[in-house]
Amino acid sequence: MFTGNSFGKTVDILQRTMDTSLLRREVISNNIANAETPNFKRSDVSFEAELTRALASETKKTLPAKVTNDRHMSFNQTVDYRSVRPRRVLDYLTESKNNGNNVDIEQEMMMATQNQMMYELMSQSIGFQFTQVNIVTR
Amino acid sequence: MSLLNTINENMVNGNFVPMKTTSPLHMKAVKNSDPQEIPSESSFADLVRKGLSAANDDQIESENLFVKMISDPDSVEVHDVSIAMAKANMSLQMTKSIVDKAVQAYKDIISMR
Repeated sequence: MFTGNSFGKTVDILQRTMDTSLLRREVISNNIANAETPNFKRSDVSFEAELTRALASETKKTLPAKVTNDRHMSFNQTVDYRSVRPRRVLDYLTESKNNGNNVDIEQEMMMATQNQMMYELMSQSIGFQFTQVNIVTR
Repeated sequence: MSLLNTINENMVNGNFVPMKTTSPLHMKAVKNSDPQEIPSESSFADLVRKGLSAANDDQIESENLFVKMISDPDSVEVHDVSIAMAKANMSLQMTKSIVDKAVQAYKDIISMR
């Protein structure tokens, strides 16, 4: 119903980010639970950077490349933000303990709190969006 | 009392040449009228249109801030987001009540006999 306008887009972006926030919560909990497991490597969720790139590609103005063959690549490939999915990334490069485990429990706690506060802010924002529409339709 | 105080620029005839200013702190020879100031001869329709577009700008700004909060969290402060939300909410409520009042006034007028 609301696709194709800024309201629908904002709500959609907020919803996707909230989904990511839940996944991130799960990943962080898993990291904390395995803080003492030997040879465990922590995971992370990457989504926002990809989303930013996709959103920027919609508005970015680049020189149109002359394409003489359909296999030629254009300079700016528009990425639909709806195609961006959150990804779990295994952090296997860092090392912080002798048993091959790289979970820093304080850092994970900080990330959990930040994630939770971000989720609260986003649920407030999405509630606000619907309140605005309800004011008009009341 | 010096001459400068008694003569203001409205009393001087002739062409005003704008001075080149490279900083907003520089004083201008010709004072710009305040862009926010509403000219007295603007019609009611213009005022309504101006108010509507200001309310719309508040909505758009709040939505942009939401997206920015996600895409670039370091550049947006949380209080800015909530202030933008409150602003957008208030301007929409105000627009709504003005519309309601206008409709009510119209109804009052047509029911007068």
